Amino acid sequence: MSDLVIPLMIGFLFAVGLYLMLRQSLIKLIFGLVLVGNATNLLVFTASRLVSGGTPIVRKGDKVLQTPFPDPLGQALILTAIVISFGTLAFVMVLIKRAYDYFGTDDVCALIEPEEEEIA
Amino acid sequence: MFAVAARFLSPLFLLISVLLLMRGHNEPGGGFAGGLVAAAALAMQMLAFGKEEMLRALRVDPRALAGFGLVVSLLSAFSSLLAGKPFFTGLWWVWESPLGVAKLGTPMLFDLGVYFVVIGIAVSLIDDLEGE
Amino acid sequence: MIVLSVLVIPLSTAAILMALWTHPEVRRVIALLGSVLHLGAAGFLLQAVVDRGPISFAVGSWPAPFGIEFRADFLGASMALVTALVGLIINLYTTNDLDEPRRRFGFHPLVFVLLAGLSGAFTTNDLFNLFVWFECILLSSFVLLSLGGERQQIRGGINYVVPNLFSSMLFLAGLGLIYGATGTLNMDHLGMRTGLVEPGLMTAISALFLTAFGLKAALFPFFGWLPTSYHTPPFAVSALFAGLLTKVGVFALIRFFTKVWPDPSVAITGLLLWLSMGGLVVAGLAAMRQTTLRRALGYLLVSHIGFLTGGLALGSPTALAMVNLYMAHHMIVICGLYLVAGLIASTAGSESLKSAGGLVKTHPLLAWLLGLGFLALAGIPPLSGFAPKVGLIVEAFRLNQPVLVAGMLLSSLFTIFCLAKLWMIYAWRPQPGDTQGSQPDRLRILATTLLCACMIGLSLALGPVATWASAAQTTEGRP
Repeated sequence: MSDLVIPLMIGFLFAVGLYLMLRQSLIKLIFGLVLVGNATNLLVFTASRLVSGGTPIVRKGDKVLQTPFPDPLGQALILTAIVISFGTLAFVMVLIKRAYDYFGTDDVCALIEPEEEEIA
Repeated sequence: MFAVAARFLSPLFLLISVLLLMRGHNEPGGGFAGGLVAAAALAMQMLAFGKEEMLRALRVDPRALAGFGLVVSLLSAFSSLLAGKPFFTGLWWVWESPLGVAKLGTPMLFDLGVYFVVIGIAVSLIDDLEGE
Repeated sequence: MIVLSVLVIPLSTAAILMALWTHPEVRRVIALLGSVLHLGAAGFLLQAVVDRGPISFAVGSWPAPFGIEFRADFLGASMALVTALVGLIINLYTTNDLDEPRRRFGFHPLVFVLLAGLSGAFTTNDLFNLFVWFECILLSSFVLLSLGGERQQIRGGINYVVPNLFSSMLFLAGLGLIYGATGTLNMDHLGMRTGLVEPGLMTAISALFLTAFGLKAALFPFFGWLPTSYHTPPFAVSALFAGLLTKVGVFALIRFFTKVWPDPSVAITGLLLWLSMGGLVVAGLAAMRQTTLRRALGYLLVSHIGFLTGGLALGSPTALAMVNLYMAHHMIVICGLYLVAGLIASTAGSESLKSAGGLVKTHPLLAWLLGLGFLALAGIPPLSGFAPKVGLIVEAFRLNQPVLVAGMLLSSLFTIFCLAKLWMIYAWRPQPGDTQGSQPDRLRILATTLLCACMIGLSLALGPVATWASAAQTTEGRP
């Protein structure tokens, strides 16, 4: 069941995120980035196989891991990615707020540079 | 009302953050999560009493705190060199007492550094977003 | 251990600089000291790699492929050396001259984090670790770009950060898929396993990586963010970015298509070839009608990326060695030109071409530096750009890729045309009357001159460097 649901969800998140990113609003741009980021994390999570099982830590007294266990590496990757995207998005938010302070609008078109004159 | 709640909740948050930091090696938690909770406590202080009060409660410049944390983390990485092991190898001191076994290691020091970095960065970001 | 020193030194310097937030005078000295140490370590590393071949290091004693492995080969070590060199020059350039808010907001720590990220990316042998270094580079560069918060910079910052953030996400998605398909992230280990994966799946995954790294490398058609952001920050930051940032994208592409997937399918190499061709021509054309030196340089930079990716698409050892040479040359030259542009703008009081002119008479030293940079960028014979350019074109001929040959020749033509036009405006046109510029700081001139001296140095040392690069391409087999 989850074999189908999660990929569909990932696709849906990507679609919504991209749609929001392509809107003309800086705030929606951030939301779009967040959603695409989450979709990516889910993708990594699914790509490292979905297994339900215990924590992959060898318990006291055991010599080997008790199967089934999920692959910890995929989750470690996502954890790192989440931390990083958290930091980056925080900075992007500061930047967008500055942009709002300057331009007084969250319209992306305000970012288009005025055309400059030709050189002699 | 919020100010009263913040006065009681902030210390609690800080306690939880330290708890998260300490249990982080084998259980959920760690420097990052702990640092975020501590930053949340400071954010609450700011919402309740204003930015100046929050920065005063922190006592040090948040950016310098982040730098200090980075230095601590790097020290933990370097300390394995002194023991003649490759860079970043974890070192552990085990201390057995009647009360139980205490383990202290360089990964702990690393987490402590991360804790400070996260607090420092998060607070300076909050500072930036709030600033006007 | 020596492998790690190139990234530990800048990282430690950044940490110390941040901790010493309140002591600007001490920090100035530490920044220079850290840079010198970094350059020394990078030089030492390259020397060791030339002597002994690639050097590996397993972090925290976890053996590869389980732990993170760092592995410096000639390509990585040479890039790390140029990175350290550019870092030192930028630090020297900004020692006296940075305005106060930028200093307070931590310009120097960020530069060192950026240098550490670059050195890490150039020496790591783990695909996920590469992602982490990329993020490190992205974060520090994007804060550097928008530091100071002028209107222009906010614009440039958003133009820069959104595509780059998106590229990171594509990179991560690719990482997840390739890990799912092969079960490993060590690049050499991946190289052994990607051949076993179904080629269609690998093509799809590598298309993700091509887009992700192509965005970072400003590959056609993903280059729009570069010319709209690189002219906005202070010149030192522009120079730093132009010299180093896009090259790390190209470097990642090279790593992916030589190490991770050593024999890419024809579909991908063909695509890369045409994209390189597009960049060479389109950006070359766009460069000719820019209104400031910095903007023109931005487009020329994009155009020249086509040489690098085109060489990668050819894929032969000779082509890769030439790409290595051209990359080192280009990093130094483009950075130098941005610095010279900064000096010229400060003497003229404005960046606009309207206030440019008369350089030969008023500032002969600057005219010399500009001329030298232009000649090197255009690839005029005694200077270092010529040999790798010709080498790439000859190799494209040999491998029967007339499209690429045409693109490279056209790009060279556009470059010469554009630079000749700029030279006539800057050097030979009489100086327009009303300029309110000031004499630039001596340290800045010294830094720029040093970098130009390095250009000449590289030209003189091109023979042995080329020999090492080719030797590295033929002998550095996969374990």
